[in-house]
Amino acid sequence: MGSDKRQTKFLLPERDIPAKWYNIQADLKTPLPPPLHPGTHQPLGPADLAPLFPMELIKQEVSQERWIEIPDEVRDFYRLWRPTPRYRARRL
Amino acid sequence: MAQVYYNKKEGVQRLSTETGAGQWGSALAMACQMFGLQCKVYMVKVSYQQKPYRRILMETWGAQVVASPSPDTESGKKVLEADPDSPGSLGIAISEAVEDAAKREDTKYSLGSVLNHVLMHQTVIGLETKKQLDRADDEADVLVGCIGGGSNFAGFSFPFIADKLSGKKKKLRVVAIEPSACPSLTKGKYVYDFGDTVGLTPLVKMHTLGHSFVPAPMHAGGLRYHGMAPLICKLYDEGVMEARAVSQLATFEAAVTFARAEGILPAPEAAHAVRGAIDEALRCKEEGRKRTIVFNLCGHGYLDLSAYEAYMAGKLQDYEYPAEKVAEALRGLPSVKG
Repeated sequence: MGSDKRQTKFLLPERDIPAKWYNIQADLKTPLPPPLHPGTHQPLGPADLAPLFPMELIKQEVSQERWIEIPDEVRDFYRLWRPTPRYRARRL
Repeated sequence: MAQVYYNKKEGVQRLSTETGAGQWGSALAMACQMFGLQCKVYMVKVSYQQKPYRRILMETWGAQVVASPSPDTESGKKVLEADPDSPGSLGIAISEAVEDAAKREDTKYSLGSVLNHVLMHQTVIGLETKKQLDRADDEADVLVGCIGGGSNFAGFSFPFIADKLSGKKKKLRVVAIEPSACPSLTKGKYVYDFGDTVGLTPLVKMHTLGHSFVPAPMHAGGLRYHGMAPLICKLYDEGVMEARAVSQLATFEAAVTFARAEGILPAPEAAHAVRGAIDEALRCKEEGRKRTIVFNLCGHGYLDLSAYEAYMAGKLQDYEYPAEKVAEALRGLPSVKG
């Protein structure tokens, strides 16, 4: 690749903003212990979380899919500040 | 952004949330403004008082910000009755924000860390970092990040941990740095506990200092949550990642060293990662080994200059959360069978 040996900032173009989020739950050796209802101490169902969270986020909370698509509208907002730069801390 | 997007899609008009030093509150305030939702932020009282410019930033983005514990909720009133001078905690602020959402049809709750989906949304950080390293033919040997609830650390490290779990990069070290004033991983117990102080949230299995934990007001370094993301806790418990607690003075010393060398002023929270990275580099020097150390600078310190002022005036002290206090708070853990 032959990058400049004094290069300090490593920048990516906007097209390299990820198109999917990575869900580590797909790769765990054993599943995460389930969250429990504060009153009954029984594993929570989606209906328990619906008063607090929209259904799409409840689904993501328990998903076992390795990659979840980032909606275009969200990815567009990421363009305001992403990708963020990597810096070589040569002076530290 | 992601959380606000999915809430908007479902027709939600207002979000409530908690914030400590204010970075998460600022992020949600901005996202709500851009998607056209109202936003109410319960900010830990001691931070509300110490960091007025964070509050002003959130208000500039249209959020309503109150100091927690507040008289706006029954949870807040209960805490104020017991202790009118309570400096507040993230646990208390979460109780208030959850109660707010549960009582209003037009409001849902948005959490800044801990939950699986919140951590997952942050993985854009680690995914970009991997690409940046690949393009420069660099390979990380050690990853270092600060850890409070786990969101920035997970976002940064999980895409790399994927390679560790698959066996592709077995030797990669992943190091989480937490404050000695709030040592959830290094001194907490890995059990089921409430996510908030009052007991409104689900019980999750995590390293916890006990849901009644309130950090010492002298602690300026943030990262003050009593628990930790369950995903992080599982990986720590299984030895996939390491954790170390560092003291406040050593953290600010690292921050000032970094600012003077590199020209960037880290947030007190991010300074924990700087401390960890410097320590790893010093270890390399002692061992005579070359390693590529990558750390996540998760925030700037330009709205936390009062903390730097206190440090440079010699007003900060180290505080190590005492074992007796850990034991006392853990006695209040909910009893969960199995």
